[in-house]
Amino acid sequence: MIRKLKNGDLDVDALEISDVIDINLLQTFQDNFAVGMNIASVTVDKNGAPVTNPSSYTSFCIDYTHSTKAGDDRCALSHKRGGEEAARTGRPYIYTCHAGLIDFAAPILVDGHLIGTILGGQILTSAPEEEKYRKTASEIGVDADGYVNAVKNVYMTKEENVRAAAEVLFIVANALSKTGYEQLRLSSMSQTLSENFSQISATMQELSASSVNVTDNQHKLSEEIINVKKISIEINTILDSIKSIADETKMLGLNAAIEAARAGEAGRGFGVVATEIRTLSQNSKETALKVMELTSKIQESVNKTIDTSNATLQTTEQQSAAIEEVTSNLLEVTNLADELNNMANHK
Amino acid sequence: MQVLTFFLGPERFAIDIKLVDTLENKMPITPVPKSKTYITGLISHRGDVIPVINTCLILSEDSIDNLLEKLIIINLESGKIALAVSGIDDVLDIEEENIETVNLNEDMSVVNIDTHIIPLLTYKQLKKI
Repeated sequence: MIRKLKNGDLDVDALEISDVIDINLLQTFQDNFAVGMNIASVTVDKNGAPVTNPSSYTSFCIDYTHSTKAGDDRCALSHKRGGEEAARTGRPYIYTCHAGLIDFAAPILVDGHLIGTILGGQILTSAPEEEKYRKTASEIGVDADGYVNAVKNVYMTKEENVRAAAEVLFIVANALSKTGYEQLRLSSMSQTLSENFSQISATMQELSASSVNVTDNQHKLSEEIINVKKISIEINTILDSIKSIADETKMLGLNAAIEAARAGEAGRGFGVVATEIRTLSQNSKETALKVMELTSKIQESVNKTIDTSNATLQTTEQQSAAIEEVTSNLLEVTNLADELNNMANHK
Repeated sequence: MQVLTFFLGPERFAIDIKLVDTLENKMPITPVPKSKTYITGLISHRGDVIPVINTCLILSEDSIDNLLEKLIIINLESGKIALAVSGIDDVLDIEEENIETVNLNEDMSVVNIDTHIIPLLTYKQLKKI
């Protein structure tokens, strides 16, 4: 099963032989090799269950040894032991099976993990001892004569031939599985890459949208600031009016004082009023001047704000331009990643 | 008694308030060709035609630029005149004893206001115009 770990890597423990090797290809290779070398073989998964059909099994095995439950169980046990030893060493293991034939087990490893084994052999390297086979036949419950005849038909060859055959199967199977595994990893990585780029794309779009937002807000801010400036200028105009009213009031007060003086004793009270009016006008003027000071400060502050706002606007516009560039570069890279993914997924 | 203080440029002067008719803001002045230098022109004030006097020149001071900001309308026996001044300060109460006459020129007086000495325009000076 093809499964990914949390960090995005492939889970090697979950891999099966069928994930990394094309079983049909393996079967064809296995069959032809078996015929060519006169050596039986079959491929099993990591649990010992066959994934290919047996190639060139001898009559001795098929018709006799495997025909009884006792024989079949012994075979299974023998294969299991052979496979375990091969897995332990990581190298082809040549052994004599329970029935006396020469067998081998070639482990198929991926990144140090066992995913299957090629079992094979069923040959003899020396002439069979008849007595031994009669004994085995009785133990497993098959016809002794037939069993002995069958064993004589078993292909005989030198041990180095067997070793070479096992080595070939080992090399080829592991080469196939390695290629298959690398392709899986590549496929998985390019998938992850593709996903990551999609995420980046999405984030960039968000960023782009929010940067447009900021620019819009900046423009609005600029408008509002100019508004404030206009209003403060209006305030100054009104203050000018107030100042001239204050001046007029003062003149009025002075003229009133003159009239009061002209009226002599009778005008004394009025003279006091005239003084009050002049005080009032002075206060008005002073207040107007203070307000003008404040509006002047406002205008200064507003000007600074305008400068800062313009600087920010420049920055956000630069930002927008940069984001656009990154987005277009990203598009290019994303397309490449997609192409890579497609290539990696073509088996 | 009360005096009106006014400005000719940076200089402050005073005049007896009894001499003053009214105070006016600046208004259009009609120039009179071939008139005396100290007469700037004529104004129309409440139906009367009044000559505007360059106050600096009659006080033998150099003429200043923004002279015609305010006008002090003075009542003389011969009629009214308008003194052109650059600004009007205030109406102040003063004690008679603060007025001094300058020895060399009987026509000139000064008044002591808050330790400042300020020339006081007298009726005699104005009569000369």
